[in-house]
Amino acid sequence: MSNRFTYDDFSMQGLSNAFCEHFDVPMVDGSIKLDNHIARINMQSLTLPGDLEVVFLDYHYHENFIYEHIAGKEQRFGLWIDCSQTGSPNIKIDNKKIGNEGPKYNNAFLMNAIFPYKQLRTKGDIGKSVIIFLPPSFLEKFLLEKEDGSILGKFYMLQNERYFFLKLSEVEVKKIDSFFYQWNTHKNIFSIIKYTFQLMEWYFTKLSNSFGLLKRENTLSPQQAVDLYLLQKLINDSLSLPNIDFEGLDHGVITPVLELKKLFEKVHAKSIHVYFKESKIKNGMKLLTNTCKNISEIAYEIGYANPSNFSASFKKYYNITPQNYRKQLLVK
Amino acid sequence: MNFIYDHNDYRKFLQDLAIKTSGNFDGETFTFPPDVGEGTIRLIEMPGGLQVLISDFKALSDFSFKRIASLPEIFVLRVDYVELIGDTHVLLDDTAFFPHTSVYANMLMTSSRFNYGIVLHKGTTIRSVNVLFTEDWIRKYFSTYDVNYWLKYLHAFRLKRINRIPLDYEARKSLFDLSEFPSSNPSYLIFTQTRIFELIDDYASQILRLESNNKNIEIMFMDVAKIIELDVLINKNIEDKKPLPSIDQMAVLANMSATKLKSLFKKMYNQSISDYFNNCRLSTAKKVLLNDSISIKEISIQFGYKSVQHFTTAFKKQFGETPAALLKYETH
Repeated sequence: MSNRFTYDDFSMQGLSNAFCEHFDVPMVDGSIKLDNHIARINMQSLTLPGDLEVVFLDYHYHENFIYEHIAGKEQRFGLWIDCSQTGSPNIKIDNKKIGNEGPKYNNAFLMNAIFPYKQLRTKGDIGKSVIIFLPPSFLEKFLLEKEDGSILGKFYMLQNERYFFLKLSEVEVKKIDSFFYQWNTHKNIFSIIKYTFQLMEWYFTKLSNSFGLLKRENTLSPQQAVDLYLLQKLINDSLSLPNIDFEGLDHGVITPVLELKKLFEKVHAKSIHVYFKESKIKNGMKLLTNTCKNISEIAYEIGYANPSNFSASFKKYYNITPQNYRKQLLVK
Repeated sequence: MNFIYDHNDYRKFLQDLAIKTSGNFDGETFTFPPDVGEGTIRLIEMPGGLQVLISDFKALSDFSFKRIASLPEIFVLRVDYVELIGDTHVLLDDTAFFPHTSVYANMLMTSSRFNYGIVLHKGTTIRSVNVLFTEDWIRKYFSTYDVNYWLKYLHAFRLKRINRIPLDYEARKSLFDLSEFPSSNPSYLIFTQTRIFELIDDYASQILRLESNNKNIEIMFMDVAKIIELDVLINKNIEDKKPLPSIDQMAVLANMSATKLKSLFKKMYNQSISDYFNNCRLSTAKKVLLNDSISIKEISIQFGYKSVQHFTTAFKKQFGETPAALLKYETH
């Protein structure tokens, strides 16, 4: 038992089994009760009509705690709703930090099991979470629009940008409270179904409204989206190299590489070359700001063979040379 | 025309109805032929295999539906809002219910062990939702706790007890929303299903409430009818932005004493008459706020609030957000 909980099977069964195993607690009628020096957690699993699986828990952490989902190969979706009344958890999806600032953390997001997910809970954190696992049968039937491509395809589009975090209004926070109240006092399954559907309706209606902003031709098929994600990952991993080695892609992706490159350029509205160069420069900017490394070192680190090339590109992008930028920083 | 059936398959019901009336059934929607009625009956297949019928039509000739008792036992939740004309009536186990009023607004659970029928006089309008529950369905989703607990209530109506629940303002709203939401909207399915689960939960929660009060509340059928008539009338007034009448005025409208009116209201809706209508007024104001572009100040004047402050405070108490905050959130 450690303060780091990891699991890789993103499903109701997978999550609750891993939880029982990690904390060495039993599950009775879908209910898990943990009360030790790390945390007090009541977790309940339920299967609802349409093979929807719901896990809901209230928690009080006594120590800092890391909660980690290891990226899987299979796409599985879950709507993750979290109302923390105290701390704001430090959340990383796909190794990027996300989440809001402020004392309360009331958010929902659609999680895809192919992305790694990591949450740091701070000592003293109290709150409630509801996780609705959406089986493929459910998604196919309820979220796929007939003509306009799939909601999922559009969803991937947004993944790159903002993971589609939605802040809960007080109305939804109240619903979460009623959800737990109904379960704890009446065990009224109809109320649980109602609140689950109301929360999904709220999230997917908002999501679907935002899709209005996306152009139809930007819709991706789920396969294209996964492949695009792999390409993005390859580019990010290559930022310290002089060039991108596209041969690394051959093993993983199904979409033809040429088509994938075109898709990427459409999504980001710039060529891969420009995107790659700009990302490098942004990286260089970070290193300039946050480290004491000299400019040649930085240039080598971000894959420039010649520091003067870096300086020139930097100036073109930020309209200031790295040397002057450093000087300005030092003055401040 | 008399339409008689003895099974519990709504698809077959609509197919047969289309043959009998020469109406049109396209697999989802039955449309009345002009000589019989005006409007539709829609079939919705809910998650987990629940069959639901949504009716929204006006009878243009006299006709009746009658279901002959059959086994295995199946339960039907009937949510009806009927604007009655002439001798329109419901037949429960061959006993006729003549409301002698202008509206019939009830939630009612019937069992296939008994005959059920509805006789419609020309000009009657109906909005209704019928949900078909099999015992298997109930057993499956109630496996987490005592199934018999619930089945007991479902059977309770045989003793003609705690089965009929008057349709309150919120339930009527869910019912009306169902017939008005366009099926071309991408959120159609999730919207429809959420409304249906709300109605089911409303019924279940009220049955639970009546049982947990452990009082055998007997309300005369005529009194229920009077209250519903009054309720509908006052809500129409609210929508027309007429001021709320005093309780004494309402008592005159309902043709009973103010004391009796207050106590009946409390029994039927589990809240005081003034709370109930104030909530109705707030919900209507909320709808106007979100749909029409009228300022909060204007709304508070139109709906007869003393001041904007008064309106804002009441709104926040009911919905958890101030009108301004909700508007900002919803239109964001």
